Amino acid sequence: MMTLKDSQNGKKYIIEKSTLKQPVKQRLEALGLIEGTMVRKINEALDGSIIFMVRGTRLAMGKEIAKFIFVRDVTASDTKHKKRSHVIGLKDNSGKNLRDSNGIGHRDVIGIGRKIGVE
Amino acid sequence: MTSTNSNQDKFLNNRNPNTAMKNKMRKAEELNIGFIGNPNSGKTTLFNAYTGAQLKVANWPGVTVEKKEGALRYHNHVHKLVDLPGIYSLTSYSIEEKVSRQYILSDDVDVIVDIADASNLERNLYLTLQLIEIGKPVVLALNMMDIVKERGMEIDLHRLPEMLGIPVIPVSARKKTGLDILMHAVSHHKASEPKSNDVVVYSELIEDKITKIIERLREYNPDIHNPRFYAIKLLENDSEIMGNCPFDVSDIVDRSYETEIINRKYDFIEEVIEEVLVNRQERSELTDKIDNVLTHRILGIPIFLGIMGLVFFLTFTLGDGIKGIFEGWLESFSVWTEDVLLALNAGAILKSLIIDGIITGVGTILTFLPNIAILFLALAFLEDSGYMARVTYVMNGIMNKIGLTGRAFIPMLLGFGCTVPAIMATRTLENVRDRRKTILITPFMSCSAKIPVYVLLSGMFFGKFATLAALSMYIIGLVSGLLIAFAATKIEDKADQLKSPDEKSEVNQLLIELPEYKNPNAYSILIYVWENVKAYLSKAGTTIFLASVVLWFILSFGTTGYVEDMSQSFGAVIGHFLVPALEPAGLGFWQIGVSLISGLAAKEVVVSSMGILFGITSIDSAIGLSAMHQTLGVMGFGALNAYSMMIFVLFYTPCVATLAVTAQELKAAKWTTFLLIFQLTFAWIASVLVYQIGSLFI
Repeated sequence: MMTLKDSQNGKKYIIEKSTLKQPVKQRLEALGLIEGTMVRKINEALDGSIIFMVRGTRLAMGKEIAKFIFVRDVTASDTKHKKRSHVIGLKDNSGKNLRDSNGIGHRDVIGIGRKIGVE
Repeated sequence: MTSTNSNQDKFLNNRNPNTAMKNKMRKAEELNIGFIGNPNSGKTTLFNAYTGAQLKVANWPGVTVEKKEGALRYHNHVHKLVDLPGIYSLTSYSIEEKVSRQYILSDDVDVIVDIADASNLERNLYLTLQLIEIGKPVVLALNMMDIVKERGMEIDLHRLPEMLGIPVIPVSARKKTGLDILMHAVSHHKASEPKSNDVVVYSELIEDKITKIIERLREYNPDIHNPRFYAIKLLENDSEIMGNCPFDVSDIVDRSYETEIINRKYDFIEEVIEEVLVNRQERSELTDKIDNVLTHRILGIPIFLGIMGLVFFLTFTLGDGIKGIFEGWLESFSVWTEDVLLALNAGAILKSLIIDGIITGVGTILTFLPNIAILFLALAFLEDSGYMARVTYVMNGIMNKIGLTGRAFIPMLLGFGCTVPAIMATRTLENVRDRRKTILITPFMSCSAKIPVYVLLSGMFFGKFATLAALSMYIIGLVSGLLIAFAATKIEDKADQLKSPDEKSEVNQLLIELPEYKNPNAYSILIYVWENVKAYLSKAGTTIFLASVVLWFILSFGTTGYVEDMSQSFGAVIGHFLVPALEPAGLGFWQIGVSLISGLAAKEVVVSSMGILFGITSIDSAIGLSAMHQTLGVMGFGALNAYSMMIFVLFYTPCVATLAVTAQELKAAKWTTFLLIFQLTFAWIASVLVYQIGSLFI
């Protein structure tokens, strides 16, 4: 399985699991790095530290943490998956034209209510 | 999961805020408002926008986390604002989180203002949801709405408060918009009715357990406020709350449900984002472009060194220029005072006290001021623009090898200019341990005041190798500093008993948010500079002043009272007393002892003291030098003694000013004393080693 440490710059991945120990594990979970979250690797330093995007935040992380976070490639089904909105910068592939559209279409989507339990 | 008696009632005794309020009967509806939010959410900027420079900076009791308090007049009411440390969640893994959580849960907070970066809503909402769970009034201040707009995004400001169940107010801390409306919302949202705190509903299994725990909590304390928050924390197996729980919950909390609870919160956040955020465009392309250069894997380090070179230049070259002007003024003032005193027929003691004691003391404080002000201007610029976080990342590879954060490079480099601003710069390090370690080794970077000592001694004794001898001080200092940092890290790891290598490497690893780049805000920068300059003047300044006067007294008074001649002073007595101790280092001459003591005022004073004590009038002239060389030679003070003395000067306490700022930064007398003893011992051992080993060969 691939880890975040071996990931490629500019590519998106889905977090599968982490084998980190407490307290670092909890720290990362609080930052939203949980199973099924999409991340986008941005950069890598000479010492193996990495920068990646998660939930709209750029995080820099040492390689000794990154090597315990297992990721997989993004598949087509991920976009339809329940966790679709994890996709960071989902719309930035199309870049400018999105900005032009400036759509307010989502406004009239009626909320699914806030009291929904999981499973 | 068993009860601890001492803290047993701590969290169950939280009274209902309504009764608490009535009990207190605060005058004129005074409100206590806690400002909380993620790091980089613009929380402090917003706080400053309300309070201006009128704030009180203190420490949270018992910890080295800064506490900022300010007052705000709103419609004839005075509200107390408290700026809490920037945190990502209400867990208890860091001191900052513990401090914030305890404060927010206490009766001291009436309303919570949660500041969120609207351009990064997803991550910021996690803390918001935890705050809502507490059950106190929360107002969400959506900061940086201008960035949201710039990026073509929109936030549905009707749907967001609906989904969260709390008021949401768009503000811009930098442009100072929305401030009145936010305060208005705070005033009207204060505890009037119990707030619903079940915005996030968990799975049936967890909700069941929450209900059971709440029942048990109510049984124990019918008045308990925010039981849902405690129940959730117990299910998350939060170590602090668990430890304080007065009864056994192990039948309900059979394992940690933390992952499920976190996942559910993020699921809810995703639902919110889906409905509220229109035209999602979270990534800043500008930041990506800048980062392509500034965090480039090869170019990143040279660019950082270039920026540091500029900071160094501004702080010291420009700073010393201004310092020169200050010194000119002070000199004229000193001459003028002397004339006045002469005219008034003042006695020699009074004259000496005013000129050599007081004016010199004030002068010492002032000489650091330009350096400090310019340095903090530069640091504020780096911090506010978002670059500071990158420094940690860029320098991590190098600094991590000696167990320090990448950012510790900044104070170390500044140490070559002057130790005082360098030690003050350690406050940009987030973690207390990093700060301590950096303060420990920064004085070993030879500051510019040590140059005259190196130049004098190496010039006299090392002939054509003089430059090499002086240069070796820089290298020895740097290498020793790095080795000590390395050793200190090893000792810390041992103290932590991090046995497994994995655990050790994880805990010490880099993990930091890189905020988006933005134009630094002039107002924030000025307040930051002012806060630091004020702190220096009020805390370190007084200590420097007192120490200067004490040093003046030691060197101007002797057993016979006031003495013109330093060789008759108490200093000389101490110098004689030190002879046996300095003997093994080849420095067993009372004049050297006195010079070293006077060097505590400032290192360059060592040179002038030596001149006075050895009776050389013009120590910076060639004739003066050769006369001194001769005098020392007759005494048996040769090249080895000179080198040993250079080593001693390199390692011992740089000056009282560094000691004063060290005390100010470490906020613990224990550590400051330790540092002083460490520096003296280390200098002594190093110079003894040099002299003794050297003697074997010469």
